Amino acid sequence: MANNATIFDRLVGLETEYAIRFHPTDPQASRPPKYLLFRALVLALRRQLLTVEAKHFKDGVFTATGGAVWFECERPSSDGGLVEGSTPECRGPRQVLAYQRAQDRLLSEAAQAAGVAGEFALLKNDRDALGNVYGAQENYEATLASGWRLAAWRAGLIMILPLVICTWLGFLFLIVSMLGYIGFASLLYFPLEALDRSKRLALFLFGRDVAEGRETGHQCPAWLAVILDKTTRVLTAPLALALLALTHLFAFRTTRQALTPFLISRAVLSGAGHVDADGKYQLSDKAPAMNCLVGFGGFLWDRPLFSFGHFFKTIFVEACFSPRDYFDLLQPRQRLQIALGDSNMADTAEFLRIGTTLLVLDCLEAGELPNIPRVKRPIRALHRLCADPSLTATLQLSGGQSATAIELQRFYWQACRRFLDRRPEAPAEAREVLRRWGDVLDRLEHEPQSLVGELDWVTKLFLLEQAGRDAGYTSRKKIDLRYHELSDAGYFMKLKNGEHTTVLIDDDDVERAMRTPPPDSPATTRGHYIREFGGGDETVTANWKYVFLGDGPRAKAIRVTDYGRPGVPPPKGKRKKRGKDAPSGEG
Amino acid sequence: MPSSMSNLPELELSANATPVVAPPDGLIAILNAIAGDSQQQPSLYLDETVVPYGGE
Repeated sequence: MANNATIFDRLVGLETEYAIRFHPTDPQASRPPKYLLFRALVLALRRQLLTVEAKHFKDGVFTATGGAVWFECERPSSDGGLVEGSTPECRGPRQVLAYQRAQDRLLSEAAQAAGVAGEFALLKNDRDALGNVYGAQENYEATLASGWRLAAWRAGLIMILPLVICTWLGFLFLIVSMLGYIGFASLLYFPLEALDRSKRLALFLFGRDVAEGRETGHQCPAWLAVILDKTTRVLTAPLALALLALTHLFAFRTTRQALTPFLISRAVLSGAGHVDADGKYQLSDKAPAMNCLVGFGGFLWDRPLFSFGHFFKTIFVEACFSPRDYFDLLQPRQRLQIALGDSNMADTAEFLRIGTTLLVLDCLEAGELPNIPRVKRPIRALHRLCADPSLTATLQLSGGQSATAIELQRFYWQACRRFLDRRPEAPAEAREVLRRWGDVLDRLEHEPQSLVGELDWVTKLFLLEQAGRDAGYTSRKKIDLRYHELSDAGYFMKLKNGEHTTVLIDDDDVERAMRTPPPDSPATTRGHYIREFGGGDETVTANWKYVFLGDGPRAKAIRVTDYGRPGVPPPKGKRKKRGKDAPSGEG
Repeated sequence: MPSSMSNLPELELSANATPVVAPPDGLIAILNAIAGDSQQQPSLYLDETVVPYGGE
């Protein structure tokens, strides 16, 4: 008998890292630091939309739509960096798609209007020509654990508290050491300031910001940045390992086991396609780089399917200033972050990536996902599937069975169909996801060419075969990369502008999502305060949990995750727990 | 599927597939433009889009 599970009611958000492409008008001119391009983009964005500065350890702004834009950089002195967009917290795949398209358009227009001396464009992809990986992450509100596992998770979090405090103290020592270094370097520098080489000395001692007297994003010298990076990793390694063990044992364990075969095979729907270093075609841009099931998303040199980096950041950084954030992690509803997934250009691919995952999660949490097949050696299986665009590769399952990616997807599709059949009250959007999902699986088997303009990996392969058939590796790689450029020169955008792609979201819906936040979400409150107070004289800042009105200790903090849903009584044991760590596109 | 895509070539899912049916005219123009552009300084494009150290 069907229980009263809700469908498409959980919060969901996307995080997308966009690569920066800059081509100077003057070929002799040097390229500006990526950070300066980011700041120029933010200034242009502010001309379109109210924004406030983020009160966060990353440099960024929150917008009146409730979303955010960040400068994502592992090591500022490397001159690297990405523009990262986070959608507001949404509900349902259509709403997510509308806000994702709105974000793509806002950022692309801001890059073009940034007023820099050259072509400035963004690429919505997941891997550069050197194999550096970045890209998309999905965040879903989900049940972390129940019963004894939840109790063990809570006990574990309490038990690691002394280690957390030791790590904070170690970090405080690092900050004090840095202040000591600045004092020492200043004493060394000022007597030598009159020398001819004082600028080089300043660059060595203090970094580019001080040496050039302007913000370049290089707040300390490159050598010191490397030392700080390594020291921080060593300092936090015991805490990271303890938390990793805790999450591996207890956090989303049932959900992870149920989702793994689904996510491994999901690339047939939402893979972005990729020409690898050997010139071979892969279904997915990001999947070949994955090396573990659970991790922190790069902190331990890991590339996981499920990332818990947000738990680590909450404990290591946010809870240091707001202890309540630590105890919020004890709640049973938390943010599940899926790092295995490509950035999509095609609407159908993006709609299915989110919609099918939401449907499977709803089916799973209702207890109606039966006999989930276990994939043997899942990371190896993922790589094997992605290296096979013919979709005939089979995976070994527990019990001696085997299945193709399409067969695995059909298992989940059938479970979700039964789940919806028992619920006539299910939203039409859920049935649309099921219909499109089944239709795409049928066409992948019988007429994959009909999916050009709908699935990214099929569309990119079509372009490579049609426009890059006799071309060398670099030209084919350019097709691979420029497919993702968001300007009109981008290859997918050329197809879209020529009406050769399927569009699922009306322009009106995208335009609305470029101005206003979604309803019934922490983003509604966040966007409201930004719109009301962001343009005034008072300083307004925000993070994912609060909006701060005013400066300093007298600032008023409004907790946006305590939003209410008028007219909707909270279901027992579920609704009242919402919002403790709401899944925006937060990193 | 957009109507313009209804006569797309048979897509063989291998790296060296050869189309059987010609795409519609509007699409041919776009494919030609992409083919031409992809030959223009491809190494420079690859270089301009590198992201040192990647992301999360």
